[in-house]
Amino acid sequence: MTPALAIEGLGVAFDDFVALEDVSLSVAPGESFGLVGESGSGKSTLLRAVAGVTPVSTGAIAVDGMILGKRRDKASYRKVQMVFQDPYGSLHPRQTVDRLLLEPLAIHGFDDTEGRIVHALDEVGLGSSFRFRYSHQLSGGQRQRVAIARALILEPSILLLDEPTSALDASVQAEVLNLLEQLRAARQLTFVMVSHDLAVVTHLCDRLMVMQNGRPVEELASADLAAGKVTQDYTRGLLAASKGFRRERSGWS
Amino acid sequence: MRDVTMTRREWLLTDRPQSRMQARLGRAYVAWRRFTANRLAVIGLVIILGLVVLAAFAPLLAPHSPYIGDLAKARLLSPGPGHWLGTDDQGRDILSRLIYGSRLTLQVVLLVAVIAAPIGLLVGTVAGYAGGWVDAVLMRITDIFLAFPKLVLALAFVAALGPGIGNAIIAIAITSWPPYARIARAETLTVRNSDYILAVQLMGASPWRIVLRHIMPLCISSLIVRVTLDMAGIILTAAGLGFLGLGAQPPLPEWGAMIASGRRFILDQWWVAAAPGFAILIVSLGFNLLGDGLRDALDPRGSGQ
Amino acid sequence: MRALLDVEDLRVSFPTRTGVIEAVRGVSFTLGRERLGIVGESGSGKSQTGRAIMGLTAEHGVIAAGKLDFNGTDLLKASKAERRALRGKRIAMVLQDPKYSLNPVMTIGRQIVETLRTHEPVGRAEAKRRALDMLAAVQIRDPERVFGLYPHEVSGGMGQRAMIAMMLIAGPELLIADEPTSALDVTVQLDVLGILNHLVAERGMGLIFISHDLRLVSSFCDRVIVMYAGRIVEELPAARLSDAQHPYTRGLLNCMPEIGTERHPLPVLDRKPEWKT
Repeated sequence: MTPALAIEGLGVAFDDFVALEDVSLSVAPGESFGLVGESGSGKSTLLRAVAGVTPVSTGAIAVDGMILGKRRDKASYRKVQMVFQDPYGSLHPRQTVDRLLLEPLAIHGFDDTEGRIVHALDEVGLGSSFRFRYSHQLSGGQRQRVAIARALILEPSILLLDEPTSALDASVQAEVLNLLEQLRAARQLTFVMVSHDLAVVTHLCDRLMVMQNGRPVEELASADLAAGKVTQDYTRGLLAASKGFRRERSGWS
Repeated sequence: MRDVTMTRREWLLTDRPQSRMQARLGRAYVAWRRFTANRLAVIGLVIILGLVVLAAFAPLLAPHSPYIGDLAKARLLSPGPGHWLGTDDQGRDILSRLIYGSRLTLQVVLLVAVIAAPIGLLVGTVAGYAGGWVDAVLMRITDIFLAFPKLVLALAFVAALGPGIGNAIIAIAITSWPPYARIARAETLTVRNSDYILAVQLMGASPWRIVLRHIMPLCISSLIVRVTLDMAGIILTAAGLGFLGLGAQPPLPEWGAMIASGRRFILDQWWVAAAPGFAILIVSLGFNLLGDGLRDALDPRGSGQ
Repeated sequence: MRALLDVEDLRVSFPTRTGVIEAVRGVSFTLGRERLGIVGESGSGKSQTGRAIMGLTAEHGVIAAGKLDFNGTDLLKASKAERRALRGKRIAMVLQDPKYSLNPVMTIGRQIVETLRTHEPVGRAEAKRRALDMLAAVQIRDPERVFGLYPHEVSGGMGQRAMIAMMLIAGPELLIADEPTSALDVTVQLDVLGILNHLVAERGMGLIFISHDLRLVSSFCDRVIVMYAGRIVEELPAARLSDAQHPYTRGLLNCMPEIGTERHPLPVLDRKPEWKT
C-alpha cells in the first residue's frame, strides 16, 4: 500500500544552522503519527517542511506516492493542511469566521461555498451562530475549532497538527482532542502531530518518533512507550519527566 | 428564531451576528462609538464636514463673486457689514474667495490622498512581503525620495512641469507617498511571519492575493490615520507653493496664493493675509484632531474590548 | 507559629466601559512557611490573586479585602513606597517567561547585583560575590561566565534559573511563582522545580505556586487551592488530591490524557453555572 506520507533523508538547513538532518519516516493512510521532542529538536521544522512553508535542503517528501517538488501547485497544497499551536495568532484579526472559511474555497474554486461553510462549522461543533463573528469574539477553544474547520474545508488527506492543544486549558484540550479523534475516524484522515506532551501524543497517535537536535532518536509504537519498552536513554528521560515532579528525584532534600 | 425584538443598539453590538452585513456594521459601530467618545475628534470631524459643505454649496453661500471686484469703490475695505472679512487689493470680497477657495483646498487634499496613499501602500506591502532584492530596490527608491525636503522636491517637480494647481497636486502626491510606504512596510513585516498569513500560504494562495486581501487590510487603518494627520501638511505645502507663485495661478482663490498677495499690505490691511491664514489654521487643526481620533478608534488593539 | 500571609475575602475588579469585571471574588487563605499551589484555568483569577499580593495589579484595578496581612504588615494600608520596599526585599515574584522578565540590555550579573544593592547597602565587591554564590545556588555550573552574559545568550532554563537567583538574592520571606516553568521543556522544568524546591526548603520561605497544571502542582506543593471563576472551589492537601470532592477538581483531574490509560473519548468537563456562586 502506498503510504500517505513518506519522507526520505530529509534535511533542512538555515544558512549554516542545521535544523533537521537525515529524517526518514513513513505514515500509512488513516494512521496517526506523533513527533515528540523538546525545543530545538526540529519537530516543528519537519512539520513545516511537509507543509511546504520551509524550504527543504536535501531529501524528498512524497504525499500519496507523489513526490512534492520545490514549487508546489495548488492541488498539492490542498492535500496537506495544518492546524497551528497558537489559536490567537492563527486567525486573521480582521476577518469573520465566514471570511476565514470562504478564503480557501475561493482559492481553490470550490462550488457550493454556502453549504460547505455551514457544514464545516457544524462538523467542528460550532454551529452557524458563530459564522459571522470575528476571532476576538471567540474563546481559545472556539478559535482552535475554527482553525480545524478551515484546515478540513479543503478536504485534505493529511492534517498536520502543531501542538494543537498546548495553548488551551486542560478541559478545553480534552474537547479538542476528542473532536480531532472523531474527525479522523469520520474522514479517514492521516494525522501528523507535533507535541512536547507525551501523554497527548500517546493518546492521539498510534506511532511516534522521538527527536533531539534535529535528528530522530527512536521510532516506536505508543503502546510500547506506555509499557516502558523504550531503547534510548533520552526517551526514558522524557518519559520520567512527564510523570511529574518527584521530591526525592532532586536528591538534595 | 428569537422572538424578542432587539433594539438597534443591541443588534449592532451583539457578539453573534447573523449576516456578513451585520458583522461589518457592528464593527463599524464600535469604532464609531469609540470615535465619538473623544470630543476633540468630533470637533475635528465637524470642521472637516463644515469644509465639505462650504465647498459643495459655495455658489449659494458666497455673498459676492470671488473673481470680480469693485476696483473703484471697494478696494482694501476693512471687515464690516457688506464685506464681513473685508476686501483685497482687487476689491474682491475675501469671505467669498475663502468659500470658493475651500473647493481648491479640498481638491488638493483629496487628490493627493487618492494618489499618494495607494502608491505608498502598494510599494510598502509588496516590499515588505516579497523581501530580498525587491524590498531592497523599492526601499532605496523610497529613501531617495525621503532624502529631499518635501517642499524642495515639490518645487523642483513644479518647476519642471510648469506652475498650476494640477501640477502642484501631482508634485505633492509624488513627494508624499514615501512615508506611507515606510509605514506599510513596517506593518507588513510585523504580520508577514504570523501564523494566519502562513495559513493562507498553506492553502496555496498566490503572493498577490496574500498582499492584496490579507496584508493590505491590516495596514489600511494605520495608513488612514497617517494620511489624515498629513492632510494639514499637504494643505500647507499647497499653500506654500501657492505663496511662491508655483501653485494655483491668479485669479484662483487658493488660500496660499491669497496670503502671498496679501503680504504686501500686511502692516496696514492685515486682514487680507490673516483671513486665509486663519482658514488654513482651522482646517489643518480639524484634520489633525480627526486623525488623532481615528487613530484611537481604529487601533486594532482596542477592538477586543 | 503565626501565618506568614493572611488573606481574607480578597476581591480584585476592573471597571471597563462595558461594566465591572470581577477577576477575584472573595478569596481567603493563610500561608505559613510552606508550599501552596493555586491551580485554575485561564480566567480563574489565580494570577490576579498573586499580583494583588505582590502589589502589581494594573493601575485601574480595584483591590478590596477584609484582611491582607503579610507578617504583621497590612498590605492594604501600605503606601506605594512601602510596597515598593517590600517588593523584592521580602516578597519576590518569578514570572512565566524569563525572555520577557529579564532586562535584555543588561548582563545577568549586573541585574542581580542591582537588585541586591537596591535593597541592601552592600559594596560592589560584596554584591558580586553574593550574586555569584546565588548563581551557584541555582545550579549554574559556571557562575563567572553566566554573570557576564546577556539574557539572549542563555537558554530558557538558564534564564529562569537566573531569574530565580535574582528574585532570591535579597532573601525574601515569600516567593510567588506564576507559571514559572510553563515556558520550559519538560526535562528542564524538573531541574528548575528541583532548585526551587531546594531553596524554599533550605531558606524556610513561603511559596505560592500558581499554575494551570493540577498534577504538576500537586506533585510539588504541600497544599493546593483550586480556583474557578474568581473563587476558591476547593482546598486540600496535595497528597490527597485523588480524594477531591468538588466536581470541578475531579473533572480537571479526569480530562487530562495519561500515558498508559486508554480513554477514548476523554471525559470532558461539564461546567455548571452553580460553581460560579
